[in-house]
Amino acid sequence: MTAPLSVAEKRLLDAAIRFNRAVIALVMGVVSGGSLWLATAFLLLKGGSNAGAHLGTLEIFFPGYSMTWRGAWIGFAWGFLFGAVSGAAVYAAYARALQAQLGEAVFDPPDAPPEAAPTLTIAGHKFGLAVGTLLAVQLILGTGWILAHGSREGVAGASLLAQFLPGYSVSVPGSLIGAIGLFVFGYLAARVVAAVYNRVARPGPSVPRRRPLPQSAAVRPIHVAILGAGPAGLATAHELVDKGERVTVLEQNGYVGGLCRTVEDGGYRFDLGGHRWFTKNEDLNAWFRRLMEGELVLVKRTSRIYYGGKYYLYPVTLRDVLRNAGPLMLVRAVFSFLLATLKYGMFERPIRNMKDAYVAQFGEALYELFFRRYSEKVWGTPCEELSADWVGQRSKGLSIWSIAREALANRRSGVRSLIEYFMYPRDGYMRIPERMADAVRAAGNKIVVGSRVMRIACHGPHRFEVFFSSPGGERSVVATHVVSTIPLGALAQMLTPQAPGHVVEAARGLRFRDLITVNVKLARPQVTSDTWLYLQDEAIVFGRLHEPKNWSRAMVPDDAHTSLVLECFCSEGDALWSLSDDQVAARCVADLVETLGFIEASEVLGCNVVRTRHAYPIYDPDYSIKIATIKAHLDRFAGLHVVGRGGAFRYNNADHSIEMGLMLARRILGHDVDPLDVNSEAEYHEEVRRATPVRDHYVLQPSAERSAS
Amino acid sequence: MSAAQFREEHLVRAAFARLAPIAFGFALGAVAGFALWLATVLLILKGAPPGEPVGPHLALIGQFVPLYSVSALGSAMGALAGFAGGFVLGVVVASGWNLGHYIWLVTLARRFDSAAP
Repeated sequence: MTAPLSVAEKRLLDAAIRFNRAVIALVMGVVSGGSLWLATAFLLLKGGSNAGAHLGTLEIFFPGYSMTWRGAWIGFAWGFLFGAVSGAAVYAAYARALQAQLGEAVFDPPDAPPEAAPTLTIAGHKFGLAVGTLLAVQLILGTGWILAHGSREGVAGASLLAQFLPGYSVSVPGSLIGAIGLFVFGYLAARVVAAVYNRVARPGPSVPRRRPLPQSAAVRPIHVAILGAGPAGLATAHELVDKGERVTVLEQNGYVGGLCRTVEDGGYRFDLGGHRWFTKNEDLNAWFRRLMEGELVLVKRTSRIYYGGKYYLYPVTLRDVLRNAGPLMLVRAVFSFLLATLKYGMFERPIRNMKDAYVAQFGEALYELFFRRYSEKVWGTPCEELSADWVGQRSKGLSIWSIAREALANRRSGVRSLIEYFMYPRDGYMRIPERMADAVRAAGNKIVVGSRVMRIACHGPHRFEVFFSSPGGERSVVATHVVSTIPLGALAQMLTPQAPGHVVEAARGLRFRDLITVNVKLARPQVTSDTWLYLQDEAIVFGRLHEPKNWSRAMVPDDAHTSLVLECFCSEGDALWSLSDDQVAARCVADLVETLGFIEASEVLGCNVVRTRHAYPIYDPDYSIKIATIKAHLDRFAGLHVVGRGGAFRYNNADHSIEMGLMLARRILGHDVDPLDVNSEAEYHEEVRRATPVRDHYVLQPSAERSAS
Repeated sequence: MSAAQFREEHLVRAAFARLAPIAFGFALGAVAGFALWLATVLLILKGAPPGEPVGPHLALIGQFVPLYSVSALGSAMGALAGFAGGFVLGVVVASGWNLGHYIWLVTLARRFDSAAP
């Protein structure tokens, strides 16, 4: 069955056809030009008195072509042009057939793995028409050209076609008669090609890629204890409360927000690291807009890398590499990128560590130029000793086809990619957890700040008691479910019955990177135009900086003042962490003033220093084995769930953590979703497809109801 | 993802469908082999005036294909050579098509990866 395409879909299809036409033109050009070059070179090498005498008559069509080495290259150029035009013409004619085919594809999407491109089926009739027409037109034009410019040899050579094309002669009527014959030949040949191809290439049955999800039976009534009032925990709480369930949130700090904290001092606000709201999940975006109604600003993203006294746009552009690093580096970058694409993409060379992953994505030259130093600064470990999983995690869980769709759709419209803009709460990122917390409290649920979880006793399936210390002494809360956002390793060690030795060992082996955030308050209107600036130089104490005023004017007291937020990556106990707050601030200011020359010392009004433990989970080579060991143990506790960056030990952005939290709430309520699919390889599409016509996976029916219906 | 985005994504997937190189090579090879065989046989059946060679111009293919001539044995060689040439051409064209899409998609994915914080 086919479905009519909408205007937007037709535009998208036109863009895809234009792109495909360019691809086939390039391919056919190279093949055609290469073939002529090879044939000429072969005859030249073969030599002989009469070698290439007949091929040389191509000069009639390709001025400058001759049976010489120079002529071979001229022939390549002409052959390329001829092949490119022919390929593009055939595809353009054939593309008329695509609309019906694609209407079918849209109406009834093939049941194939979402990441895989389907195998092309050639529409024989349309392909035959396209090829036959092209050949016929070429014969008419070629004959006309010979009549206008051709020599006696040209006429004699062309006349030979009459042996195969009845009625053909080197004349206008002859060419028209010959064109009919050639059209029939081309049509039939193309139909045979299509028939043979379609038969040989017939795709086999596809294999479902997604592991089946266990059905989650809802336990009623429920009371959920949520450990941690960060974005993931509060999102779970918010969603559960929204559905009328009861929760208790325990938060160790005296405030909500976790890593999404915004600190305020004298009118200056700053986030711990500067988070932006970015997701390509439109359902989640809609949820977010509803939550933050009236508080959002749209920020244009401008990220740059500062290295060797020069600025490079991030994502890296070849123009920047050419301008700042020179043409030699550009050539190296392009070649190493192509080499890496072939090695890792086409020949599937294994990716063993973070270095391999970066090289596979960007090539060796760009890895050395842009990624090695910064990565090692962030993680404090050589890239060879880190897992590859971190790299490219952003695009996992997101279909490459989504990215392609957006790129094609925006190609001609001039609309800039959403990647280049992001949403941000006007008064700091912490407003997101605060809004969620407000809703949770408004529904009569407790968020107990300043409460440190001591241990969790499991008395049976869905029977938990969480013990925590608070200003009033040790207390406990009884729950049917426990949602933990506290570091995974810590959770495994505070459960009773206690974990066996190998689980404890795995739990202790999970490491985090810590962070010191320094906010430098300044008496000047602006320092940079960036939303982020990455600093690779190992001698500079901080690795990334941002200027909150560039995100929202409300982040500074007035227009005459600004601030810089510097992120110093470190680990508890190392040399940097061991410095006092004043010493860290002094080093940061010295780097800004002396090393970078960004500000004057006299402009500094003061600094805030905030230390954050467990900021980034470190993906060492064995981390996944440790996680699997711990998860296998936790799975024995029915009703215990982990979520969030620390809880799931996954390098989530805030939007990932919130999405995980929302999906976990749904799972607790009995929906057939897996929160750990967020920010992982799994796709949402299958879920969406299963639920057709309901597209929004936050409004899926509970599995029990679906089964019943 | 909205329903419209879902449809559009499948449209892009379908538009970027890959060509199966071996199948395309096999198909072009079969047609090219048959065409060369047929052309040779046609010339043999037509024949030539006494004292003149049969199909002297088609015989020039012998410069590229060893043992090819406008003869019964040559037609078989022509069929084989046509198949081989068509097969290589088909594999190269299909692989080039797939590679073009692959490089573009990989480049997009990398750009996206870089763009995320």
